[in-house]
Amino acid sequence: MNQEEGEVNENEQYEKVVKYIVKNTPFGQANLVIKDLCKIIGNINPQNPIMLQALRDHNEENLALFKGQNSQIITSILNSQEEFYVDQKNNETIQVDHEKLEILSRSQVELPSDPQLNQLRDALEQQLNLYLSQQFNENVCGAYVMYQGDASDFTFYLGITSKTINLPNFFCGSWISTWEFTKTQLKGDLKVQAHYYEDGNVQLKNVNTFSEGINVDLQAASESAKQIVHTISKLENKHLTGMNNLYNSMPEIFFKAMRRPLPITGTKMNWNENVHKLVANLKQ
Amino acid sequence: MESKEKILSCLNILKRLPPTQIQKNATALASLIPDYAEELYQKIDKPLDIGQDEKGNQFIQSEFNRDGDSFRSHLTNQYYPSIDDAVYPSEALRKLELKANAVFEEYRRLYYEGGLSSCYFWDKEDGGFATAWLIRKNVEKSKGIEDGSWSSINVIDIKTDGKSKWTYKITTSVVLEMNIIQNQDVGKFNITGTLTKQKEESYEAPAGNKDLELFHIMKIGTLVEDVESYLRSQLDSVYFGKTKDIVFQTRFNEGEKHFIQQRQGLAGEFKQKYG
Repeated sequence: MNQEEGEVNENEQYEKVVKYIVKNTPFGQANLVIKDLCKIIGNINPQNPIMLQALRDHNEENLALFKGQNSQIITSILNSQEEFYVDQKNNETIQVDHEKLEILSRSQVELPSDPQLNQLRDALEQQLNLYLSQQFNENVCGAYVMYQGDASDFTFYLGITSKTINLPNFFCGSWISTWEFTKTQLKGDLKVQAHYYEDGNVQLKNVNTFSEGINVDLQAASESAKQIVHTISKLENKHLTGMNNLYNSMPEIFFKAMRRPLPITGTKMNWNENVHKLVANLKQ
Repeated sequence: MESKEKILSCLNILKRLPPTQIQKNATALASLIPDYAEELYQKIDKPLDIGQDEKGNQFIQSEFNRDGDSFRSHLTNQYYPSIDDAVYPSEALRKLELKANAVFEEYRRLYYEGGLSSCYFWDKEDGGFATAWLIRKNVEKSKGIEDGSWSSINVIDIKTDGKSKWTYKITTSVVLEMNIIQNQDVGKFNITGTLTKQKEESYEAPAGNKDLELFHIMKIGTLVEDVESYLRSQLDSVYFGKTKDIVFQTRFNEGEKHFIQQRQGLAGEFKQKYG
């Protein structure tokens, strides 16, 4: 193998590991992990294309929220283009800084649109924002609505993202749901993560999928939007209740099955007696 | 010096990733720094593996009974797969190892009602010795649990002042994982955790060093019991509960947003004033 080939293989290995590690990092800690990866590899900084690509994939997968002056955008694989993200509603392409989670620039473009679907989209956005204001922390959550097709045949894509990031107190959380609906069917994926790492490391990973029959009437956009967001909110509430019940049963069904708090006698082990008895048996 | 910094960075990353995947993650990171891989592997706590001897008897495999790619069983004092020139405990320590295993098995029976335990001893250059008391327990499918595992790794360093005082320094880590049976209420649910605690105690040996072996087992055993109990209760009541709190402040329960934010506001005010 000549030297050049060796370097190519080494780079491929770096890329594979960086991708895998950053993908598995809880949202909110990717920049710190990338800094450490740079130290391990050496001769590489966070602006290296391998690192930038891994961070970008991570932000899209986690529906990261980017803020600008009076505006924000959520990055996802749906609106991702090589150099920018598409804001379908505002007919804009947007460039972002993946490290700082900030909007860098916006440009106007002409995107195909359908007046009837626009109406439903605006109504959905209004309902989603109401939902977010009721059950999420407004400072760190957002939602998007996109669509494809025309009034006769359409698919809508909805996304909700909410983050809790508190690095000084060693915890992070993420709630992401993505929804897709046609005239008669609503399908959704929910992804919940929590990470607490003060003097330890505990992580929750939770996913659920949903499917419900619906009836979308484009003539009554605001009613339809209400019904859809109500269904989403109902399913998410039900999920949270399920989690609450599960957490309440954990000490009994899980921890007790692992290791008892005390032996069945209710008292600690008598080491003195046991040591003498068991060691005496051993000699026989 | 360079190796230290790189390993520190690896450990920083590992504490941010799921604890039960630590072996896989450490292997990935080690491929970036092959020269320091061995050093990194020695610094991580991973779920314990189980090996078996030629008769099918099981023993726990860990860094503490490993030599190259082989592991020594406390049952036979042999390495599997067998190797030449391996390290064995001195005769006196091997005797202590057999006794410790018998007693620790009783401890496991009382607290774990199942699982597998192994104790391993090794001599140290400073004249003292060290030992690892290990437990691996799997939870079978039952009552909504798909599967679960618990690994408890107690490492104890034992030193003497050359007279009658013995010092026991214990470092205990617990690594656990739970998966629930997938269902419509919560979907797929996986929780993993690790927690470590250290403790040090010194004791006077009985006059004339009478029953010194039993004395060691008793002191070590009591420490293991205390620290394991502490970690179990912390994981149960604090750490798992904390992941729930995080979820419920990322997405509020119906009608609860106002109350949670009010409480957080008050806590913030207190912190500003008195924190």
